[in-house]
Amino acid sequence: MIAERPVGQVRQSKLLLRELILENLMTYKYARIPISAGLNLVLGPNGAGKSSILLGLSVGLGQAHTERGRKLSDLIRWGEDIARITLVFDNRAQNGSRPIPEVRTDELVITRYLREDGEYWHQMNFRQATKLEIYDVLNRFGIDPDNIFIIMHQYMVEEIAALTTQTMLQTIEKAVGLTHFRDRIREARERLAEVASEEKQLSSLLSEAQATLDTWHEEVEKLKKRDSLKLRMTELQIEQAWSEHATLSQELEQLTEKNAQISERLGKYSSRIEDAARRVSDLLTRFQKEVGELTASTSRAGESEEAHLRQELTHTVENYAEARVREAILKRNLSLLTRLKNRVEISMRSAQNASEDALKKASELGPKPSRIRNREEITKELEGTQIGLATLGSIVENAEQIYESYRKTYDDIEQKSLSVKKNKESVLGEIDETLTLWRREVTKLVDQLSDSFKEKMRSIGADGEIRFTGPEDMDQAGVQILVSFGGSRLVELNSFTQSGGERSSSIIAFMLSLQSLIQSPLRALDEFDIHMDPRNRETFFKLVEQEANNNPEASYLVVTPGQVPKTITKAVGIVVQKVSGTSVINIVENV
Amino acid sequence: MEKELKDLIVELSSIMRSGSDPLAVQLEPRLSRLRQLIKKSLQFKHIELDMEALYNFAILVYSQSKFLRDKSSVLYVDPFLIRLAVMGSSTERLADAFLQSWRPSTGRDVLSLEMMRRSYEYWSNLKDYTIGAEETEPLLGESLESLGVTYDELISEEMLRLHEELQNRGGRLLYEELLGEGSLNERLRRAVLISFMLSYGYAVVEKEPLKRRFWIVAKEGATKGRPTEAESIITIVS
Repeated sequence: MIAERPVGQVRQSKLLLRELILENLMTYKYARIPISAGLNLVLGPNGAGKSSILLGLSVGLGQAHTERGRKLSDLIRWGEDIARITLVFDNRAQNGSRPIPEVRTDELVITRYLREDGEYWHQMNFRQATKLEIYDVLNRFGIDPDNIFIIMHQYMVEEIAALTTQTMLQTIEKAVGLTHFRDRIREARERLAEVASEEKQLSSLLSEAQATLDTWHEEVEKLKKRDSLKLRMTELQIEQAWSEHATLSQELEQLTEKNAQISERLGKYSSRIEDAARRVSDLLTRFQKEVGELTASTSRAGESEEAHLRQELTHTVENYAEARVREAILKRNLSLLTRLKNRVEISMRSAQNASEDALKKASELGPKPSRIRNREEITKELEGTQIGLATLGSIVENAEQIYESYRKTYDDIEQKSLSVKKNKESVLGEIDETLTLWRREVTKLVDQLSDSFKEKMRSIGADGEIRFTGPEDMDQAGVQILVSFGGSRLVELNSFTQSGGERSSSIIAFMLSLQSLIQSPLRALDEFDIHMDPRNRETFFKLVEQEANNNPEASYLVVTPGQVPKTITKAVGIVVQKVSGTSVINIVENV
Repeated sequence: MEKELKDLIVELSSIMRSGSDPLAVQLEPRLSRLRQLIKKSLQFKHIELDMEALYNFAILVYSQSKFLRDKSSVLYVDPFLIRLAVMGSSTERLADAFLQSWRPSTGRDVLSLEMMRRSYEYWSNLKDYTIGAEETEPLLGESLESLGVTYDELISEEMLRLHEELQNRGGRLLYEELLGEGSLNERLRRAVLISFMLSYGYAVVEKEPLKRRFWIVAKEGATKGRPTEAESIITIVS
């Protein structure tokens, strides 16, 4: 599939240069140079101003320097203070659209002014334009005045031969349209390396944030523990209240029982006092009776009977006294018991009230627990709970809210950091994919280039090959030109091994091979034939004409100091002559 | 296809210019689209546009990373959290935090007599906590020479000597170990030399946040007398 596709495919829509106008530039005062599609041969004697046309073309396209390191202002014609280079491109619609759609005129006019004071500026269609704008427009069509494979100025053969393989590849890449490719890869990788660095820092930050998250988790746990202890405290307070009530109820019961006992005892005492009173009364009656009997017997009874009576009376008196004492004691005890009962009854009322209050209080605090321990146990646990609460220290009331919010942010950032990491890996993977594509396409380009180069070299009795070296590493990858003259083995083209003519022939063969693959509709060669023998010169002119014919939508400008080779069949001649110090152009439609 | 590629590039550029949350952008579908597009063609101009698009993707990922870094600042700059962290930290931990936040770096333009005098005053104010008064006496000298340091020496002999010492001691030492246990003057002198070593690219710092440690790592191939490019001299290691 690849072999069927022409590498560096030519754009369907071309931007062709129609005219170059030089004003006050070097030896030119005012010259209009029509440029045709196909081969344009710039002819004329040495010093007539042939190379100035290519130089004017390059500077007009935006080149910032001259080939010999001169200032641009040095190009202004002697005695003048301003020069102007105008390039007229064909912007007529091709296949329904203009080459530059945003320019709605049939011509695109790019002008560059050079002022003696070093002020240079561009115009596009007679309006001021930045160099970047000009570059942007030209770059779309692969026109790069700085690329030596597009516009090869005089003496550049040696420069090309001295290029490193890496620079050679990079220059070729730019010529075929990969103008920003390497910069973009480098910049993209740099950015992604920064992302990797950020990843490390973020990872470190997340580690620290994890510690903060843990702290907040501890705070939440503290809060939960505090709440749990508080709940327990409330339960204990309820239990304590119900325990208080139970104790009071128990006391009341005890008092009630005691009161009942006292009442019972009081009843018994009353009965016993009544018995004692009856006995006192009986004894008193008896005493009175015995006193009467004694009194009566004194007059009629003997001594023994009287003694007996007296003895009985004494006994009765004693019993009476004893009965009175007993009665008094019983009464006193009754009185004591009555007072005790009163006190118990007071205590009972008090206990009743306290019990009712405790019940009310306990009921208000909460329902009665199924199990109620004694007060000591409850108090002990309450104290322990209070200590537990005190040891928790300060509590952040909204710790849970803060923790949840922090955790959410943490999780979000962690998840997104993974996402960014994945994105980075994906883009890096895609860059690798693109590099694989680049490697494959450059390999094919170099293969095509090599075939074409070999063919051209063989046409002058030599041999050649183009190699893509070190494709694995883009920075080290390069293009190597190998040549062989006189049947020797293939050796690398450089500034030392080959003769000037061999170098010149090899470079031009390479240039022509490459120019058939490049995008730019404008290709120029300045005095490529200077070191060539007549036979090779003729052969190469034939090859140049072939290339021009193969690419009818491209303009070839070829500057030559010699005669037009006889082999040329179709070319426009731009004849340059110097008349009274001024270069003059004559056009020969078919040389 | 060229138009589709350009549209994708414009879309990516627009996303970045819009200032909206780059993390809200789904990259994968767009990357898949790009890959589908580039499979259709094998022209250099399309490879160029493919890379241009990937460059924009890289910028977008970078923006995502930067946005995430800014967003993540809420994890450590919340004043309430800081207050809580400070209140809950022990003296040792606060001292560690100070050490971690202290960057022993200075520039040649700062090393004037006046600045050294001001530095001395600053350190003098701290002496009640850490520095014995008698130790600071030699600092009252009138010039840098009192510290045994001169500009030339800083850039050449002394700094290189310390660099050599670091290399001889394994090339990687804890900052405190490299400072040594000499007198205050000696430690200060070495601190200044270390800061120059770092600024001039003879060493880099590796930070171990979890262990709260800083390593000074000798760097090979630094160009004598020339500061390194604007790259971070601190690397975070886990």
